[in-house]
Amino acid sequence: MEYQLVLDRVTKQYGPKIACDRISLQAGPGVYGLLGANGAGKTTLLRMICGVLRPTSGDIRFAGLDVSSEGYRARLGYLPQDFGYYPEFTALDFLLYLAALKGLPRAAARQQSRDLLELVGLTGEAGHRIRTFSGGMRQRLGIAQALLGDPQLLVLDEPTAGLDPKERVRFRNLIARLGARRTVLLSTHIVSDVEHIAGTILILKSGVLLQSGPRDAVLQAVQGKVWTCTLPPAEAEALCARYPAADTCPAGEKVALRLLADACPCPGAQPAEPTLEDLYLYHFSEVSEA
Amino acid sequence: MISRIDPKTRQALQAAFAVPPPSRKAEFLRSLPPLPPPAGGPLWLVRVQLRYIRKRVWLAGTAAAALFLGAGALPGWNADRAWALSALLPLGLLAAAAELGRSAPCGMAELEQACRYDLRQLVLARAWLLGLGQLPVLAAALAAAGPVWGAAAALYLLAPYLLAAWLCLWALGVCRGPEAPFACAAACVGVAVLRTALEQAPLALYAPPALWGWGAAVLLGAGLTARQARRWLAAPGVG
Amino acid sequence: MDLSAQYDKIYRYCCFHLRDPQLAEDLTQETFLRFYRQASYQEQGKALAYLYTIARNLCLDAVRRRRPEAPLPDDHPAPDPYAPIDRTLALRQALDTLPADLRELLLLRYVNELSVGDIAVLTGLSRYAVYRRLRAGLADLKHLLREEEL
Repeated sequence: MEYQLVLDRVTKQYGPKIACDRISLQAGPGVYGLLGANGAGKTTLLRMICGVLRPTSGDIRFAGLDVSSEGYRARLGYLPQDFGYYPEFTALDFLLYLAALKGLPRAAARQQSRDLLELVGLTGEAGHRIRTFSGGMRQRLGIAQALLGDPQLLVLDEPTAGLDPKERVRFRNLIARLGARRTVLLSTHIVSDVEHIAGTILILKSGVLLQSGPRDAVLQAVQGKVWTCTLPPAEAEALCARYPAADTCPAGEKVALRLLADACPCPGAQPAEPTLEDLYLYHFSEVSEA
Repeated sequence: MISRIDPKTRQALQAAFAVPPPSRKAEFLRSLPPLPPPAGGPLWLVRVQLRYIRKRVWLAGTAAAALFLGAGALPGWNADRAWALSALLPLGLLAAAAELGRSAPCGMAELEQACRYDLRQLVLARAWLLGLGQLPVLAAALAAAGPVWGAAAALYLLAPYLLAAWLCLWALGVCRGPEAPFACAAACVGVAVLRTALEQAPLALYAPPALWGWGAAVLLGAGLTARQARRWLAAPGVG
Repeated sequence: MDLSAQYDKIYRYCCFHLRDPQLAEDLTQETFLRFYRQASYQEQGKALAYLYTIARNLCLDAVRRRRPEAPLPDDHPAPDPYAPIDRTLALRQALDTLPADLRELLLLRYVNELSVGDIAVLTGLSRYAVYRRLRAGLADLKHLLREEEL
């Protein structure tokens, strides 16, 4: 395939600590959801993919271009987890500045900036200073700048942070559209962000890529391990101490539980179809590590 | 210049070289991703940065140059007073140094680093422009100090200036947060204070043998500044 | 770069070398795919020369690989229905008598509208040599055809 992102045993080490451990990946057009707890190495990995950090070892290429080349960065759009702005910038100034750094001629930069502001619902705020923006508005502006230059490789680190539910839905629809012809890599610890839009799920834990594949394939790891039951509160609490609980909610005088267990955790427990939330819990709950 | 051919000849040639229309063009072009814009050439970034360097930097440089020229034009301006230029010159560097290292303190470094023209190229373009902007300041100081110190004015002025430049670059490398401009300010003020203290000390600063010391200080300052600049440019942002 | 216009021009150029529209279109597409993979992005002018260089190399390789005994496809695809038939035919016949490299120069300069500089880069000739050959080629054409027909 022509426009693949290829990672070959990419490693990042800080002294004795390995932040990313020999990660290999081939990603063609589509949406890839990178799931992992905080500190799993998601941001480190994404920074290496964007050329912000240099890997200790390994190769990163997109469409055959090495990550350090201008041609690679010319096809890249990046939304960092945290980003700032020059204090005097308005929303339009911000986009025009980054458009210039992406090599867009002025007329095209102006046109694209206005179109993108409209796309993220900030047309009315184009001339306002960014320091007057709410967190959600800044995040939307960040998404807009990532789309400047119509990049083929889009890397978004925690893109829905600070967005309200309506904005989140809008964002998901946008990403689903973009992923049709582009490689979109989106990192999050919010499972519902990727549940419906990611064609491929990547699970990262302690710098290691544990699983990668379509939703149904990765859910095989927890097939037969998700149980639902309804118990009196005391028994429910005891079970929750032994097994990771995906959900607990009151059911009259009892408590309805959704648990992860290798075998039936209690009499009357029914097996349930696993979801990505269950998978996340399976990999990242503290109880499961005990 | 080749003789242009007339439109009829051109048309005739186009007809003679005519080929059947391509059959798979639309589908193929639809499948192609958009091409990034062509490379802007070496001056692209310089032109971009020129638009974005804050006016206050140029104003500060102009004010410093005006101040130095004004001092040199004062009645009673002599070698006993000219040392003040040597102490004040590092302060003329401050606005430029703070502007040079603006990306990290403002949280823009990571965004800029991932752009086509990355942070390193951007900072180089900025450094080039800001460096050019420093030339009038240096020239004004030299113009004011030259008549009283002669050729040695260059050494007396550049030694503290280069020391301050080195310290500013070192500060920008160490402090990546909002404290970076304050660190630069501390460096420049520190050098100014040191120069003032040197002036008060009972040393034959302007005796001919001392010129070797000043010359060595200039060379050392230039070397340290160049080395620090190279180190900082290798990782100007997130490291 | 206008991809659509360049596609037509590269395709025409490949047809000139290969005289096989199907193969010409295959190589046109291969040219664009290889162009997209280039390691360092070129400035506008160099991009065109690079595009043509890829096309030229692909075509010359294909011509070399073509078995010598295989008959060449028909040299003359369907004529442009809007051009006066006798003039186009006469011009084609005149062009056929010119050497292939000179025909290539005429195509690149006057049909594909490539600059003399880009043609020089592509063919390895000096700009002056390109000028000289184009001038000679036009003179030859005018000589072969009666003056008043052009």
